[in-house]
Amino acid sequence: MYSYNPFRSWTAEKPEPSTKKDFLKLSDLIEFFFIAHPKSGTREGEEHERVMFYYPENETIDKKTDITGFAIAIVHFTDDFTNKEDRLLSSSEYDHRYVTSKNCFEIVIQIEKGEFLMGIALNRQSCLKNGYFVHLPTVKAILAKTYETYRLFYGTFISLFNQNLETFKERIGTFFAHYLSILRVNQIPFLDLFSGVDFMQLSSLEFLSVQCLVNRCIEEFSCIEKIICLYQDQLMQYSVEKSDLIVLFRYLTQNLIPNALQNELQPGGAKKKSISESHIGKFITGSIDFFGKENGGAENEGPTFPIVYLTSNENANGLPTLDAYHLVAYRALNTTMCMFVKTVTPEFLQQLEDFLDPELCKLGSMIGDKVSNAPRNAQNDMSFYFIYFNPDSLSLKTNFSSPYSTSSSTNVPLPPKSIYKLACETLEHFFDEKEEFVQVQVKDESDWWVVVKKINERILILFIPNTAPSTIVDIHDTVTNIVKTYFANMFII
Amino acid sequence: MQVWILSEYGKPIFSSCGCENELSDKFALVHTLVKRYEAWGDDLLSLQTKSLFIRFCRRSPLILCIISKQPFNLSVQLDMVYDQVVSILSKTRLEQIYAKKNNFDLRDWLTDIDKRVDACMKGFNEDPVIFFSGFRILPLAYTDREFLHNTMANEINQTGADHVVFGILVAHRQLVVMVRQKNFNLNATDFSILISFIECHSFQIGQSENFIPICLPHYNPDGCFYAYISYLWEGKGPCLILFSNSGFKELDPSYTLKNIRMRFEEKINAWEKEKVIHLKNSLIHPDSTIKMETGDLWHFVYKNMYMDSSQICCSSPQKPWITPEEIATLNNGPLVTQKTAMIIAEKMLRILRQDEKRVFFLIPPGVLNG
Repeated sequence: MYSYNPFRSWTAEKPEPSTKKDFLKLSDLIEFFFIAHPKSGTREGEEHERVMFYYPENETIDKKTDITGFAIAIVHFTDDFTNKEDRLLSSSEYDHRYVTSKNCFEIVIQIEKGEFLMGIALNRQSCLKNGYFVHLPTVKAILAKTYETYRLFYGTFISLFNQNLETFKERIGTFFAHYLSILRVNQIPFLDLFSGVDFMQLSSLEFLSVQCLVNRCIEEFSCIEKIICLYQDQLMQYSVEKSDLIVLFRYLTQNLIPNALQNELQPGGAKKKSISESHIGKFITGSIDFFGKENGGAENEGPTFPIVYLTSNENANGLPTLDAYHLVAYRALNTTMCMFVKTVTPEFLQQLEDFLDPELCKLGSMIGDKVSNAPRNAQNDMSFYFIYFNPDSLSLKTNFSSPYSTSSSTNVPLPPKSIYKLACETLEHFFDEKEEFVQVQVKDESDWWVVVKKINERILILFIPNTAPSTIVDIHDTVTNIVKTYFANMFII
Repeated sequence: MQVWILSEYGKPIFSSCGCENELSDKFALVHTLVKRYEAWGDDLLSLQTKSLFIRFCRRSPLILCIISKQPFNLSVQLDMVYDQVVSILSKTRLEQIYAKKNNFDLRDWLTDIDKRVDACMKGFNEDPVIFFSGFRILPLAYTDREFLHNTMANEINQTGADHVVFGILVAHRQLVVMVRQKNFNLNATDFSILISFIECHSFQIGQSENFIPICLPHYNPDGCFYAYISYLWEGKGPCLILFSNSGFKELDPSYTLKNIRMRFEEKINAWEKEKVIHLKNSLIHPDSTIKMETGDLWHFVYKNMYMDSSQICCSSPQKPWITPEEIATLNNGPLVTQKTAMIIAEKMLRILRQDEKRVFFLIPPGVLNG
């Protein structure tokens, strides 16, 4: 077990969400959660062996065995109705089963090509009591994210499972028990459904400056294999695989950077993690306390940085191969450069800081000037809410507020909760993934309009309050104007 | 799409795709899944994968299951299939059978269930009205409909048959006229059951008169009516259904009902010759078109919710249609703009209002003595 605790930043105090009820604790809704290894429980009398982790942990072993057995039975039952070709097509990671009953909503997903099953059930009454509308694809996305977060810090299930079963159970037990207790879900399902990143809008020159700095880092330090560069909580450049980007971005913007920012804002600042006092920036991951001290530890004890597992390529079984990297994050003037290296030495860190600090300060200063001189945030002029998602570039933009976001949101009051349910149902019932161009306009009893638009794979969802009686034709004109004014660069009209 | 019916005790009863015996292992698994949830104090409702949707429905002593590639209206379809079973046996009878013997083979008592379910499923796929919970009304000139209504009501009342609670005339899956006693109301879903019955027994009905017990589940799932069913005009006309709740109060209620039909036909034939020809023609070849100037309107469905029984007017689809979801739904050509669609909608509503007396049933039906 590594000394780095990925939850350390989560336990620190975070800024309070703008509305306490915007987010709910998953633990208030959950009925059960499990991770099962079907092949471990095939022998009669040993069915309970398939249970790798179960929450709540004090449930009886019979119930745990039953629940996991039921999940396996459902997978096999539904597989019987699909032919082999369709099964192969749908055998992508996270092939799901949704199970609804009078008391619960349950989602089961297959992990690591069906080697493991992961399932979660939400209690209907608890969801109703907390005003949470259960959108099954959203809960599936949340479930997938829990797995990806584990995989980011500890690698695949199967790798540790094959090494040592008890260690594997202990590891997932510790991780998921804690993760489930702190995980929060958004009242607006779409914000959990779409997995994307917030890209910073840069001019060509600015982007070129970022790219040049990244290239120079990689050239100068051959041990740096991948880089992510952010300004505040927006992404400027990345060279990790797309499959790793979302989980990394989430971790960086929801934990690492907010924690670093809080330390910066504290009076006197936290203990400066800079090797040299003359530098403005500092490392925000890892321990470099060994520098210049007699730590009395092992002679060869060096700097410790968190280990993350990133995708390199797929192996023969179609499973991604993960490589372990140290996450070395350096931050100066709101700019964070995250570098992924295989080995870290004190000399490397010293050289890195000497090289990076002035360059990052220059970049941060340039971007900072642009941000402070930018015209008033266009989003403040918006009299509507929107969610934009491009599944190709992973760009996700919204003006719904987030406790992790530093940008301000529109002054329009939030739509009533019935609108989110309506929007989810519109997306499910009227959207065919195969269709390239779709537009659906729905008016709610509360006179809010929900418009879901898809062009060239990009999805735009608008929530428009109705200030005057309007017909479908009026709202069509309104939507056209909105797209022309605010999203002209994103859609080809 | 597949529909399965089994008993709560695990015995297969019906499978729409083939012999249920060959699927006994699947039935057993469905039984296990449903019963496991019952043991947990819960009720299994549905399973779903990316391309498969399975819905369960427990209606003791039966378990129903539908497997479909589309997610829409699965509960409604299961309810309709269950209603078909109840219409044959009644709920009370069904419960009594299994209370006496829980491994009873219900297939012997449901000899035409496959035809009934097939007729249901055909309706799901082909009749846009099936999910609207309304009566589709056959367009007919108001004077013709009024004549039929009054004639039927008079003939029933004149015989003094106060056990006749409903009189219905049906053509082309649509309601022509209905008369009833004031306290009896026919539910649209029960009407769909009658339509399915007529569809799957049309040959038999055309050959001879039929006098059968039938349960209307939404009116009273525990009791049966005795229905007299016959096509008018020697099998060429619309279908007349007379419901009696005599319970054998009369020695032979069928005689009375047959008499009513004969007199009804006589009165129609005795009407003015030209009107009779026009009436018969309208019933055999109804004019269901709404005259629109533009050919951009492919299909519409309009549900009038202001009437006690929701009534539906829709066009016969000429081109591919998508299952409508709204009360007034238009399917337009692909090159139509939204503005044009709104104009077409307004035009259609105006025409429907002008044509109201022809496309809707506006005569109060509660005119039978009882």
